[in-house]
Amino acid sequence: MLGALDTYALRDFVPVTPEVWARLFERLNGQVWPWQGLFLLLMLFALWRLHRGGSATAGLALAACWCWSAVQFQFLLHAPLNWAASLMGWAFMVQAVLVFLVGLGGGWRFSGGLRAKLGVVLVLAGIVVLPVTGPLTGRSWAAFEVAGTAPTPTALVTLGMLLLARPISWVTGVIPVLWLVYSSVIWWVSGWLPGAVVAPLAIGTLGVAMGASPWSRGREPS
Amino acid sequence: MVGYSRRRVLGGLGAGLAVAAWPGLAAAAGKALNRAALPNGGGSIPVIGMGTWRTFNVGGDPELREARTQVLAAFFEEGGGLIDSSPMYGSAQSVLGHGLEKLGYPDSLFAADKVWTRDGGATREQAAESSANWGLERFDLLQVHNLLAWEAHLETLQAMKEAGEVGAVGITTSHGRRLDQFERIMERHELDFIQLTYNIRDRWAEDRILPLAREKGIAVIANRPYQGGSLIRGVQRRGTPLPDWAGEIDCRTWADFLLKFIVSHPAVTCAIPATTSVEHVRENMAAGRGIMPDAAQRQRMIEALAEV
Repeated sequence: MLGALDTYALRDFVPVTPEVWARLFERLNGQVWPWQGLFLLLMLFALWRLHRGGSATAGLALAACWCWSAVQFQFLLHAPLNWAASLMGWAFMVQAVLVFLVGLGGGWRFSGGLRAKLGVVLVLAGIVVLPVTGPLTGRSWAAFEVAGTAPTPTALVTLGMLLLARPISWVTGVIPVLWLVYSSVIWWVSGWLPGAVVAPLAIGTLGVAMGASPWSRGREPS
Repeated sequence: MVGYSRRRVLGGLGAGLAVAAWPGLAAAAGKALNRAALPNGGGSIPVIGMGTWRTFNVGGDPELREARTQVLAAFFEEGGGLIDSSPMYGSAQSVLGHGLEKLGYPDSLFAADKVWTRDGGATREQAAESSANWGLERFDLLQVHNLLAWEAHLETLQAMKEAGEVGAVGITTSHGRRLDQFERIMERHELDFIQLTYNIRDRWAEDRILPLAREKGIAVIANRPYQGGSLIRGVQRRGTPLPDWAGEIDCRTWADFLLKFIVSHPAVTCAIPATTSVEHVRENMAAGRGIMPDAAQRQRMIEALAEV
C-alpha cells in the first residue's frame, strides 16, 4: 500500500479521531497491566547500566522495551487503525536490533559534558514530564504514557540515552525521531499542544547537542 | 441495468432480535427523506448518506464500537440509506459490520465501498475481504478509490456487475485531485456513480464534471461536505447566525444550510457527512427534508457564506 501514498494530501495521513487516539493509550495501559511497571524498571535499569558502563546489558534492556512497544502498541492496537502501523511495528523491531548491536559494540557508555546534560533533559521529559503533562492538561490518568511501553516516552528516553553516551550512535536516533514526528503530527491535528511540540523540542535538543561538541568536554568512555 | 438488491448474511431470526433490541428502527419507518433517483431505473436513495473516514475507525475498542452502533441506529431511524467506506479506512469496515449486525442489517441500507490497491489483479480478493468485514455477501456499489489502478479495477468491477456480484460501479476522487483524468474516464467508460468533493466552498466540479454526470446519467456522491469538519466548525465557532431568509428553504441549522446547498445541485445524488455524534447524525439527516433551494437561492447561499 505504500505506493498509494501519493494519492493523498498530508492531512489525510491521520486516519483516526482525537478521541480514538487518546483512548489508544488508555487501552494500552489496560492491555499490558501490570507489566508496564516492569518495562519502566527495565528502562531505568538500562539507564543505570549505561551510567555504570554496562553497555551490553543497557542495550539488551532497551531493546526489550522497543520490542515490547512494537508488539503491544503497534501490532496489537495501532495496526487495526492504520495500515502503516505494521510498518512502524517492524521499524520498532529494527530499532530494537540496532540498540542491542550498539550495546554489544560498547556504544552505551556514559559520558558527561553538555551533551549528557541535554540527554538528561530528554530522559526526564520521557519518564516524567510528558507522561504527567497528559493528565494535567485534560487527558485521562488512565492514558498515562509509561516509558518502556508507550512509544513516545520510550523514544524520548532513547534519544536521551544517545546523548548520554559517547561515542554517540546517531543511527539509533533515526527511528525514534521519525516516530516523534508522526506522533506530533497526530497530536497537532488532534489539538493537544503538549503532544504536538514533543518532536520539535526533541529535534531542537538534538540539534543543540550536535552543535555542542566543539565546546563540551565529557569524560572519555572507560 | 443496475441491480441494487442485496443478500445479507444475517438470517431473519437475527434481524428480528435486532429490531427487538433497537425498537427505534421499527418506529421510525414512516419518516421520509428527500430521495434522488438512481441511474437506469435503479430506484432511489435518500439524499443524505454517511461517510466513515476517521469516524468509524475505532479498532477493537468496545466502548467506541457501541457508540458508533448508536450513530448507525440514529442514521437508520432517520431514514438513512447509503453508507460509504473503504479498505483504506482502517477498521471502519469491520466496525460497520459490527454495528450493522447488531441492528439487523436494516432494509434501507445501501452499502457502498471501494477498491483501494495498486494491484490491479486483486479487485475480487479485496472486494471479498471488504464484504466479509461488513458481513454482506454483496455490495450495492463498488468504486475505484482515488483512481488507483483504475483501468484494471474498473474492468473487473464491470465484469462483477454483469455477473450480478455487485449492484453498481463507480470511481472516486477527493480534494479536487486528477479531475482531468476523472473527466476522461467518465467520458469513455460506463459508470453508474462518481464520488468527489463538492461543498459550498469547493465548487470546481460545477464547471465540467457535474454537467457531464447529468448528461451521462451518472449518480454523484459528494464527499467532504463540511470540508473535513472545518467549514461547519468555523461558522459555529464564530456564532454566525443563519441568514434571515434561511427559513424559506427550511434551514434551521448550519448543517441544513451547508448540506441543502450540496444536495440541491441537480446533478448531485447524495452527500455523505461523517460524524461520531448521534446528535449530529440527526442534524445531518434533517437537511434532507423539506424545501430545497432553487438556483437563485443557491447563489444567495454562496454570497451569504462568502460574507461570513
